[in-house]
Amino acid sequence: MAKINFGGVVEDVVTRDEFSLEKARQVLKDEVVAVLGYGVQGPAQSLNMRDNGVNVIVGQRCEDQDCWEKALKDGWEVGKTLFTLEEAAKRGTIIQYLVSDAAQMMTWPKIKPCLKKGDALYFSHGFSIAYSGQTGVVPPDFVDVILVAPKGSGTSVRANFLAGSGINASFAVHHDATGRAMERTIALGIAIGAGYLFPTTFQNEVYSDLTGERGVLMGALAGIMEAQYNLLRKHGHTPSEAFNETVEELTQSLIRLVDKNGMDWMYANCSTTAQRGALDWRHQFRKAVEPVFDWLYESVASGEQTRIVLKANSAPDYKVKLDAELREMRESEMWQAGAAVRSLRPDNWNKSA
Amino acid sequence: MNSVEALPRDAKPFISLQNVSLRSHDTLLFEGLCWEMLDNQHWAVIGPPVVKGKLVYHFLQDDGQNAAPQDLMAYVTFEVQRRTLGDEAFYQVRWNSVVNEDALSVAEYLSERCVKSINPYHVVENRSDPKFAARRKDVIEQLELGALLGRKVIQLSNGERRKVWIARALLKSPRLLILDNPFVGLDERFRARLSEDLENLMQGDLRMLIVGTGRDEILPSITHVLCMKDSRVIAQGPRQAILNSDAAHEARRADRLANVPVVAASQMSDEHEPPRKALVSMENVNVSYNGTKVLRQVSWTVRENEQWALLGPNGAGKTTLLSLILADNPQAYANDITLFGRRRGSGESIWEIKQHIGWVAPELHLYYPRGATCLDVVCSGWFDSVGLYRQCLSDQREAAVAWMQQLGFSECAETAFAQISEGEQRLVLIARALVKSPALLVLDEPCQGLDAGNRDRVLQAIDWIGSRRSTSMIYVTHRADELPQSITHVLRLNEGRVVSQAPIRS
Repeated sequence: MAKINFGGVVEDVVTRDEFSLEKARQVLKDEVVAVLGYGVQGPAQSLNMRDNGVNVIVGQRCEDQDCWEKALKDGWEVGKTLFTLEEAAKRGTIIQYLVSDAAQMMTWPKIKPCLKKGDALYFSHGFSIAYSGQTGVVPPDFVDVILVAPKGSGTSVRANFLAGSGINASFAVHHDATGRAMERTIALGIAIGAGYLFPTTFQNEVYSDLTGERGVLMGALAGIMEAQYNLLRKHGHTPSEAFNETVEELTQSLIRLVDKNGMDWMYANCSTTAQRGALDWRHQFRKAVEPVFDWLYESVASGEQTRIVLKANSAPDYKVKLDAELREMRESEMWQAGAAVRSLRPDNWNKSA
Repeated sequence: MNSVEALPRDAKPFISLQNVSLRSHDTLLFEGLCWEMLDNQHWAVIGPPVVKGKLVYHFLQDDGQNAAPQDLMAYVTFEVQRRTLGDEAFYQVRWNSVVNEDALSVAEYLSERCVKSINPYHVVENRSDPKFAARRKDVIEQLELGALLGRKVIQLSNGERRKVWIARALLKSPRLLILDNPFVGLDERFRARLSEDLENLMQGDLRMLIVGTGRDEILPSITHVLCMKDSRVIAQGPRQAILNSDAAHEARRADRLANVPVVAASQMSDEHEPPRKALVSMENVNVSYNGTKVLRQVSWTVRENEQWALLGPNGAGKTTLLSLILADNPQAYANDITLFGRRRGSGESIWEIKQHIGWVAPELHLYYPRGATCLDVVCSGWFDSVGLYRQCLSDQREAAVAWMQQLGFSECAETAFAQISEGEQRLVLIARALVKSPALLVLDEPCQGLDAGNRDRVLQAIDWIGSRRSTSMIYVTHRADELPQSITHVLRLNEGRVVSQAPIRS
C-alpha cells in the first residue's frame, strides 16, 4: 500500500498501479459475482466488472418492471445472466448486496439461506452490518463480509470507467472466513473501476457517511442557507438579492474556486473587506454549530438515526410524505427564487443559438 | 448576353456590410468585406477555407441596426455542440441505460419552450404563439420527423440529428436562415431530400444564406454567390456570372463522385489465398431499443488485411454496429460476437478488445478534457482513454511524436488541443488511433466537416496506412469521393439489415 501524508497524518492507500486489473482478474477468475439490485450502484458496478472480464450475473426482482427492463437493455439475459434475487444469490460466490438499506433489511430472511460456505457477502454501505441489531442482517460466520464504497454516484462510477479514468472508493473487511477476504475486497474494488482505495471499517464508513449527509453536505447546508435567506428577507432584501448572496455566488463561483485551490486561497483572493469579516465569523460559526454536530454524531453512533430511518422508510406512506416535504421545499419562495435566478444565468442567455 | 436576373424595382436592402473586417482569435476571417443582400435574394458563400457561418451570424447579430436581429435570423451549424449532448455524458455512455434516462427527447427539443428558449420565470402576457403547434406539425411532416419524436437527441444518428437541427431553426420562423455546411455528413438520398426541402423553403418569404464548401451543389434557387479565398472576397454577384468565372471554378474544384464497383460474393476469386484470421465476426446479431429494431440479423466477418467500407443511409445502424465492435455497447453480451478470437462475454475485458482497435469518430474531440495538449491526446491512444490518466513511457511518447510527424503536425505537440482547428483536431485523433499500431482501424466519417485541404491530408494518411496492409480497416462514409483507395470490401446496411457485403473488383 502507498503511504500518503494527509495533513501530517499518514494513511495507507491502495492504488491500481500496485494492484493491477490483471491481478484482480486472477483473484476473481473462479468467482461468480452476483449483483443484487439493478437500481443505481447495481448497474454501474455490474457493467464495469463485466467489461473488465469478470463473471457477473444480476439479481433483480422482476416485479420492478423498470429495473428489469433496464437490465435487459444493458445486455443481461434472462436465465443466463439475469435472475431473481434469490436465484442469483444461490448461483453467486460473491454476493453484492446493492439493494437499498431498507430493502436489505426486508429481503435478508430470503437471502441468508442462499449463502454457501466460502461465499463473500459484499456491501457498498456499512449500514446493515454496523446496525445489525436493528436491521437483523447478521451473516453466518462461514462467509466473508466485505465492503467497497465508491465515492460517487452510480452514474459517475460508470461514466468515469468508460472514459478510462475511474473513481475512488473506501474498502473494509468485517469478517474473514476464507483467509481471502482482503484480496477479494481489493480485487472487487479494482474490478468496479476504483483508482485509489482508502481503508475503513463498516462502522466508520457508515458513521462518517450519515454524519456527512446530515451535516455539511446536505442538512447543515440547506439549514444555514435558509437561515441566511430568511434573515435577508426579514430585513427587506429582495428574493433575487437574498438568493444571489446566499446560494448563487457560492455554487457558481466560490465553491468551485475552493475545490480547485483550497479555502485559504479563497480567503487570500477576496476583497479585504470580505477577508477580515470572513476570518472573524468563521470562528463564530464553528463555535455555534459544534454543539449541534456533537448531538448529530451521538445520534448516529447510538443508532437513533437508524431507528428513525428504518421506521420512516418502511412506513407504507413514506413516498407520499416524502413528496409532500420535497414539494414544500421546491415551492418555497427561496427555491422558486433560485429557479428564476438559474434561468437568468449567463450560460442560459440566448440558448437559442 | 448578360444572364443576370432582372431585379424587381421594389427590392430593398436586407443586409448591407461596408468595408467590414472580422477577426476571431488569431484568424482573420474577412478583410474589407463589402456586401449587400437584397430582400429578394438567396446567397451561397463558397470557397476554401470553410467560412464559419456562425461568425457571420454573430457578426450580423451585433450589427445593431435592427432592434432584435436574433428574431429575424436562425443559424444552423452541424458541428455538434457539447451542450446539446449534455456536459457529463461521455461518448460511449450513450449505450448504457443508466445514464440516458434524463436526456432530452426530440419532442422536447422541438417544443415551443425549448425552440424559443422561453424562460418560464419571465412574466409576460400571451407569450405562447397560437400558430406554433400547427407550424410544428408542418415542419415535422415536411422533414419526416414523426418517428423520431420519442428518441433521445443524444442517441440520434448524424443525419437524423441534422434534420432535427433544421426543424428547430425553422420553428423559429426566421426571415433569414443561415446554414453552415448543411450537406456535410449526409448520405446521397438525404442530400437530395434536403436540397428539395431547401428549394421549397426558398420559394416562400424566407431568405437563405448557405455557407458551403466548393464541392457542394449550388441549389437552383440561389440567386447570388459570394466566392471567398483566404479572408478576401474574390468574386460576388449574380449566380450565373459568378459560377462561370474562373474564380468560382477554382473555388469549386469539385471532386468527382466515383462509383464503387461491387461484385457479388460468388464472383470472388480468392481461392488462391489461404483463409485469413477473422478479427471480427458476428452471427445473426439483433439490437433493439424500446421496441425499435436497430440491427436485424446482421452477420459479418472482417478478416486480417481487409479494408472495409461500411456504407448506408443515415440511421441505417452503422454507428450501433460499430459500437458492438468497439466494445462500447453492452448489448454485445447478449449476441453472438467474436472479437479478435474471443467470444464476447467469455471473460475478456473491454480494454483487451480496445487494445486491438484504433478509433476515430466525428464527435470525439468534444469529449476531451479542456487543457489537454495535442501530445496528451495522441498518447491517450495507448490507454484507449478519453483524457490521459496514466504515465506514458518514453518510447510511447516517442511513438506518438513519430506519428505526429508522419501526419505533419508535430509542431502542435504542446499546443492545447481545444485551440487548434477542427481539421487539425481530426488529424490529432487519427494519430491517437494509430499510435499503438492497432490490428483494426475503425474510422467513422474521418473527413466529416473538414475543408478540402485537411480532407486530402487525412485521406492521404489513410491511404498510406491502408497500403501497408498490416492494419485492417472499417471505414464509414456517406461520400464516395471520400473513400480511400485502399478499400477492398464493402458492407451496405439499410434499416438495420445487411443489404450486401462483398469484395471490390480491383
